[in-house]
Order: sequence, then structure tokens, then C-alpha cells
Amino acid sequence: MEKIRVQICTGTTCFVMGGADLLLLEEVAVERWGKWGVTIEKFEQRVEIAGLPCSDACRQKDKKPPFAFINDELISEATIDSLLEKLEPLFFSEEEKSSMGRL
Amino acid sequence: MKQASCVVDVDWAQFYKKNQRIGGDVFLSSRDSDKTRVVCTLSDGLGSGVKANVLASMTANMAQKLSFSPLQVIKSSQIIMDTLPVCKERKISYATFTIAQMLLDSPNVVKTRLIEYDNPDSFLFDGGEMVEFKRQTISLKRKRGEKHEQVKYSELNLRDGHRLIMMSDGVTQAGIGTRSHPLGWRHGPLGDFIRKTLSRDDQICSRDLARIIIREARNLDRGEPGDDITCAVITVRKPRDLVLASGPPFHKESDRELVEQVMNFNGRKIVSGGTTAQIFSRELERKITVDLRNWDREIPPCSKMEGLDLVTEGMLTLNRAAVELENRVPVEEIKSASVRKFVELILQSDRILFLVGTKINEAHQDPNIPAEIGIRRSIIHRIRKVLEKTYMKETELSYL
Ligand code: FES
Repeated sequence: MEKIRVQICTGTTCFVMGGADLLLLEEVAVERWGKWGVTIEKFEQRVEIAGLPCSDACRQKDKKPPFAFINDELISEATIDSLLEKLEPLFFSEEEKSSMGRL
Repeated sequence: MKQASCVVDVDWAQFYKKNQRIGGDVFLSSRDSDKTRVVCTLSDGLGSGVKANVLASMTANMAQKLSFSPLQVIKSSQIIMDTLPVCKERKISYATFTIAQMLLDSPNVVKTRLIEYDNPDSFLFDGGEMVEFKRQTISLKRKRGEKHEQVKYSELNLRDGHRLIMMSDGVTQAGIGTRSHPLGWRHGPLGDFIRKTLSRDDQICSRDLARIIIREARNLDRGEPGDDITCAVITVRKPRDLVLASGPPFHKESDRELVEQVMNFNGRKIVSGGTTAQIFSRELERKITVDLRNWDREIPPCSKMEGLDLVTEGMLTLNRAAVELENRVPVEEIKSASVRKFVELILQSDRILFLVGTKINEAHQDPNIPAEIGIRRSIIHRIRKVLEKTYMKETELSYL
């Protein structure tokens, strides 16, 4: 399976506007999804987190930092919650979803 | 940057006597405004604590001031000795001193005058070899004193690879009274220790050498020094240059010029700032990789790009670096990994060229962002100031 790519902007604007917290994504994911058997190893098998220098998105008036990408989708005003929400359906396979009684 | 003559890298390290929060050893170092003269003084005040500190500071300050005046060294020494009080019971002077006056106006030689009064003899090394030199003994008599005091005077021509090492007697007497060193470390074995250290790494910077020496002295004292321990190292070498590019140029057409100037620079290279890094990435067609292994909540992680020694985020990193430098925080105690690398590279260099782009970063106009992080120029100004004043670096600034 292809890894899900999460890129988090670590530029100044994003960082001070909450991007610093986004770097805790993996920790929080493991904490929340632990009940479904998600460990750090498992998380890292499926997700690749990378930092991104300022992509100039913060210059655009209509979008708000902090920014992140999940695969190629730009997410503005990203929070750990909003990232996990987007990540969840991509992360778990169909069987896992049904056995978790979700969806 | 112009072709430079040799530079002097001056740094020191110190431990106070156990249970003392203030030391009786003082080391001062400064250079004059046209940067052709450097003067260093190490003074050891009799006793310890505040009183000793005041005396040593007074001595060192006086030595520094007088050294920049056109007075003869002997005359200066005389003035210091006349001014210093003498201990009534012991009839010895309250503070000792070692002064090195260095002249940096000829291309390959640093003309140095060394004045030593009652401190252990300084060492001169050339690479890993100890060099003996002639000392002239000058007898001075205090105005109010009855006995003559011996001041040693020497003239040295220091070149690339030379080091002058001065210390207080806390170093040579370290470990005194212990079974392994009943008489203390002593001058000879200390010299051997320095030789061995230099034979392992003759490129070591002054700061590290000074630290290795005082750490060993403290070990001999079993971590509880019986006296203040101070060691200062002066290293003469070819300058190491570093360029720091921060901020996008005012005109976009200058982007190329900025990149070329940095890449053609003969020395180390740091780029600070996301947008600036993007310019390099675009012009050079090289990837920026953010290093997510080390980061903390306050300072964004640094990145890597082929051909550059370090790529950091801009304002937060620079601002923190300025604060750490101003507080003289030892490199290894700097918490943020990116700031630590930044400060380390800078402190390993002698001459730093700042290339500062003046384009205003619209993102930082955002009212939600703390105002102080937006002021690139003022932060760079602070960094330059502390580097010149406290760390005796040469800096140059150019706006793009
Ligand atoms: S700082 Fe994140 S896009 Fe500019």
C-alpha cells in the first residue's frame, strides 16, 4: 500500500500560528487510535510525515495558516483534529473500519 | 570579503573556587575600533570572593585601558602597580596580571607584547610544539612599596598556527595536596598535557582548548577547586569565513545574484528564512529537506540543502540565536537543535558576512503575528553587535 504523505509547513508564519503543534500529529494519533491497535510502528508503516519550508501559501489573503498537505490536498487552518479527521478514512482499511464498527 | 591577514581567536574558560559564586580571577579581552589591536588581560585577585573580584577587575580594566593608550608597556605596568593596594601582612600585591597586546596590521605576523606579573608563565605553541621564548625581567618599584617587583616582558611574532595560553595559578596548582599531585598539577606536566591535546587536534578552537584544560584541572581537584581556575587561549590563524543569507532581495531580479554570491563564497554558508531557502532551491534546482528529528515547540526545525552548511527558518531562529549569544549561553546548553547548530557554525568562524534581503515579508504583516519577529534588520543588527563586542568576530553587512 502506498504511504499517506502528510506534509506540515514549518515556516515562520505557520509555525507561530499553530504549526508547531501539528508536529505532534504522530503522538496524538497513536494516543487516540491506540484503542484500535495503532502503534507508532504501525503508524509509521502507513504514514510519512515530513516538514515543508514556507510554500508562500501564507501570502495568499484568502487562505489561513497553518498549512499542511495530506497527499496533495492543501489544508488551511490545520489542527491536529482536522488532520486526524482527514487521515482516518485513508488510514484504516475497509475491514478495519467495519470491525471497528465505524462507517 | 577582502583577503585578510591572520586573525586572533581569543576565548577563555573558568571555574570558581568551590562555594564561591563570584571569582577572584578576571579575564578581559577587547579590540580597538579599527580592529588592528587586540588586548587581553588575565588578572587574579588575592583571596577569593567579592573583594578579590573587585581587585582583579580593577587591574584588568586598567590594563585594558592603558594598553590602548600610547604609553609604553613598562610605564603602564608601573601605573597599575602603583595604583593597586598591597596586602599589609604579606607585602604582596593584591592582584597579579598577564597582558597580551597584539598588533594586527601586517599581513602575516601578529606582533605581540606579553607582560607577565606573578601569574604562572604563559605557554607558546606552534602547532603541536611548545616554543620557548626569551623573557626580559624588568624590575619595578612601587611608589609606596619598599621592595622591587619583577615583571616579565617579551616580544613575540605570532604567525598562523601559534597559540598563546595564559592561566591563573588555580590551574597549575590544581589537585594540590592530593595523593597523585601533592604539589599540584605544576607547570611542566600542564605543558605536556597541552602538547598531547594539541597533537590530537591542532585545529582545535581556543574555546575548546581552554575548556579541556580547566576541566582537567577541576578533575585533579576532584570537582571541588580550592582556588579559581581560569585559562585563556589566543590562537592565531587564517580566518574562517562564513556567509549568512537571510531575507529575499528587494528586487526579484537580484535573486540570482544573491544565490551566486553565496555559492561562490569561500567559506561556510547558512541560509536563514523559508522564502530565502526557496529562492536557493529554485535557482539551484535542489531540494530542501526539513529535518524533523529535532525540533521544539518554540523554534522550527532546520533543513538541509546540498551545498549549504545549514538552512534554518528565519525570524524565530535568528531571534533566539541573538538571545543565546547575548546571554553567552554555552553552545551545548542551547536547547533548540537548529539554534545550536546555527550558533556553533557562527562561533567557529572569524569573519561573518551578512547578506540581508530587504523585501518586506507580507505574511509577517499579519496582525496575529508578534511584531518583533518581523524585524529582520534589527535582529541581524543585534547578532552583529554581540558577535563583534562579546565574541570579537569581524562582521560585514550588505543589503540586497
Ligand atoms: S509559513 Fe507556511 S506557508 Fe508560509
